[in-house]
Amino acid sequence: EMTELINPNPVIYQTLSVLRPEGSAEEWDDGVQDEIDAFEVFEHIRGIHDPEHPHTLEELKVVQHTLLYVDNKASIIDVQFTPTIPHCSMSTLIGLCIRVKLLRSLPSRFKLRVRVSPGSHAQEAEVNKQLNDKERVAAALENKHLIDVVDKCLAASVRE
Amino acid sequence: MSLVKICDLRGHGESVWCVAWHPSGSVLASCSGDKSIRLWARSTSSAGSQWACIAVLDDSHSRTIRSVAWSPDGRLLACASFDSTVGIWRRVFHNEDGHEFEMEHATTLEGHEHEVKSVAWSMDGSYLAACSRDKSVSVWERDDADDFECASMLFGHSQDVKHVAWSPVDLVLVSASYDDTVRVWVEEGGHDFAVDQVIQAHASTVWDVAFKPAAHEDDADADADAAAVQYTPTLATCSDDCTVKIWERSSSKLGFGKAQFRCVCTLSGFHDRPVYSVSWSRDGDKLASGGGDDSICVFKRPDGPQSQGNDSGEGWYLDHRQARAHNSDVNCVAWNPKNASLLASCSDDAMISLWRYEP
Repeated sequence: EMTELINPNPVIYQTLSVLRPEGSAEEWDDGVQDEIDAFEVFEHIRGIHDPEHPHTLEELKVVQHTLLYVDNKASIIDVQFTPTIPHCSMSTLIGLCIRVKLLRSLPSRFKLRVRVSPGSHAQEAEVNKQLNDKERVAAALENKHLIDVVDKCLAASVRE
Repeated sequence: MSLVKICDLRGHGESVWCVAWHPSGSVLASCSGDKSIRLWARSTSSAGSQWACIAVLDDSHSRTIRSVAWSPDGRLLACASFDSTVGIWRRVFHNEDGHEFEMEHATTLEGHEHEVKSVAWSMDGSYLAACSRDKSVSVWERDDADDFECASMLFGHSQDVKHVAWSPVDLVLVSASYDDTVRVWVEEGGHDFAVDQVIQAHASTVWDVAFKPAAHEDDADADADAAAVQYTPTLATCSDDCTVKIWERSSSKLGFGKAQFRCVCTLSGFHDRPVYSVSWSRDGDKLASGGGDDSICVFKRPDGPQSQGNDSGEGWYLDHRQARAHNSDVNCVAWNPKNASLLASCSDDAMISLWRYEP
């Protein structure tokens, strides 16, 4: 049980109901291989729940589709997220949730980079280094307790 | 110059983290996130010769096995696991071509508090080093009965220790860390090791460090003492900063206040993602690297190993880049200790590949 909230009064933002621009011609053409775009990546992570609030990462503006970068040709997905406060000790957990959700949702060919947005965290370099150390991530994914916490944050992330 | 794929070895169910050749060159060990070790060898049958899995060593670790290392005498295999232990396997039977090869679990070394990431044997096999997420390096002494006792715990790194390696000629140990440094440890006597140099090696995590081999045993005039005298201590390191570096120590006399390792070559621009592994060919004239860009690079020195008086690391160049060597990160590359043109690699795509280098 968490007794003290790290950020007791987060700002809650209105979420957008329609995001993706009207379908282009390619989207209706079965002959074209579906490419991943930022909107699709956003769909996967917008519903992840914050570890300490009954709100989604989208509602807290921790994730925004404008801070997602996808390069299909190079198979790179770059995710930036913005902790609600610059000393947020939940940042590595939130980053891990985003990584796990995308690992489970997207084709394995993508190289994933998850970082806090520039200037948004007091220990920006440390947090980014830890989130992108594949060995630490692999070890974290074997930690039953940690994965239970991650799964709880992800459980409500499937939007109907 | 190219790498020609000989075969893919399938069997592991998860990322393959490390491959290590038996000193005979005829058996390859691999370890994986599937918590098992596999042994691979070439079988010769009427259908021809092909590589196949000859043993699966499992049920000894509860988490990922991160690395494996053969003792120089080829009798023991050590492995490092995220379950914070080191496993020791003993060979109980083998035939000459290595295809019949049987191992049993001998012992488990406990002492680290978190994930163990790398294991390495000293050149005479009398010491085993291991390193961990707990920021320490442990040194274990092996007795004649293959029992192990912790001889020393080395503290100094401020973050995870990713890799350890021993000098091929003396009791010098190096460790590479998430703290961006490489530490050089020298035996002080009484089984104690003290830090001799802290190399501010890279701009980010140092994933691997490897000593250049000394003159190998096939050399006609090679004896151990002569090799030690002639050997210029040389390291290769690779990093999350996407570079490979080569370091030399001007004197082979290691010790306090003596010559220090200095960087003689930085190979940058060849991997565009973290570099996870480096491996020297047995004669030290080629360096292979593998990384998060799924590629393998082979670097060479212009003058080859025989050129006396020009032993500098400067002038290394990219000989070949194998793009898309795997379908995911290349975690480890390893040159065969006997066959100078045989390279093994392994990946997060759960595969091991064998390559023939063609100059």
